[in-house]
Amino acid sequence: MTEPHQDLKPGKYTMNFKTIFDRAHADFIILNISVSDDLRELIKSTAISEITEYSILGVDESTELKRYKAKKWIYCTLTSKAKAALFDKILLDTGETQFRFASAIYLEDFIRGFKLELKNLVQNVFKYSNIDVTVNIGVEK
Amino acid sequence: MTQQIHVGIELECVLNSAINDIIVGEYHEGVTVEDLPGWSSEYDGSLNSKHEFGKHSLCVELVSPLFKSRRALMKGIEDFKNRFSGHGRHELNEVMSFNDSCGAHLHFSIEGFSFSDKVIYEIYPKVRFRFFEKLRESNIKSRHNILEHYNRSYAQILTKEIWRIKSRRAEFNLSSESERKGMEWRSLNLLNVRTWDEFSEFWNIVYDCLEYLCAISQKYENIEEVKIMDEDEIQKTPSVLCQVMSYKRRKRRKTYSNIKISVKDTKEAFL
Repeated sequence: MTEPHQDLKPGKYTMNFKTIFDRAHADFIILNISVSDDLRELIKSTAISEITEYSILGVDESTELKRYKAKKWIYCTLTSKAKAALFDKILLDTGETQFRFASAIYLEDFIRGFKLELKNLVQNVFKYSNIDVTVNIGVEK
Repeated sequence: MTQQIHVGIELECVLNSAINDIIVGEYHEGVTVEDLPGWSSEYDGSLNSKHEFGKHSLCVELVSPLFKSRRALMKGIEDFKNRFSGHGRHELNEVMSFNDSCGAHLHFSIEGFSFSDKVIYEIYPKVRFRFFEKLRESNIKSRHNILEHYNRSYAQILTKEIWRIKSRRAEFNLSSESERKGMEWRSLNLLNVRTWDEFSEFWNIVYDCLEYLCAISQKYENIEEVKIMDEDEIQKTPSVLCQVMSYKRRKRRKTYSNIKISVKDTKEAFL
């Protein structure tokens, strides 16, 4: 049902959001996201090495977004459209990434969804990753 | 970067028609105010005269022309003052009054720039606080009335939720931008302002705030740190998965009663 994370240790799970806009230089609102090492490791532990493309509503379409595929048991617990960005390849490889949003409303929607899913992910990993379950099935004659 | 700005005012007031008897146009079909080029007057059903000037009370919304600078705005305010004061013969409270049904809406735009697209929510409260700060420091006697009247049903203080749905009745009405009328600052009011000096000072303060908005909305940085709950808190909080699994368990019991499930440690297995 769930996969054990024997190496999981409680740590500082923080994520920083930095919104930057300068009309003189660009027509996009830039969102920089950076994660603490502990949090990055935790998210990584729920991902697999396979890569896929994804998109975010309102993000500069000239940028190609790639993410790691996530383990099904955790991915199905996340509901918002922003969940794909949690497994962004650059974010998980380097600890920080950047998205360019065309509008403030799209940015706000993304941040809300992203925070929610981040919380859900960490919460579910802690709650279920160390479960040791044995299932005995016997069919009655 | 040069920015061409446009400012327009909608001033709701009760006029003393014994001194200034002007023709009032229909709602959104204003007619030009005599001897005040660019300004128009129109009817607004939300206004209540409260018999401020007895039978001579005339409720009206006065709409200004577009101003492109502080100098142009203050010149417009000066012209307004001269017109309605009879070139200084009357003090403001003799010719008009601002009661609690009256607002002073301001339309503001920067050429080639969309507030609803490019300005994050966090910018707007900063402008509001700047306005409050400036007003408190001012010589306007009714400043506390103005502050108390700032948040009202048809000009509600902007919250993130209101901002997201672009409510027309918000403190900052961003939906008016899509009608090419610029962003509308609806919470302004001149409640109980009684002198022309206070009137001019008020618009100077408002323009200061617009300059501030201009500066902070064209270039900004917003930093936010999100800390995920610690492990104890996480354990206490129910999660999406927990609900999903309990549903599946109920279903499984009903359907497959012949399958026996045993768990090593029930506490850990969220049962």
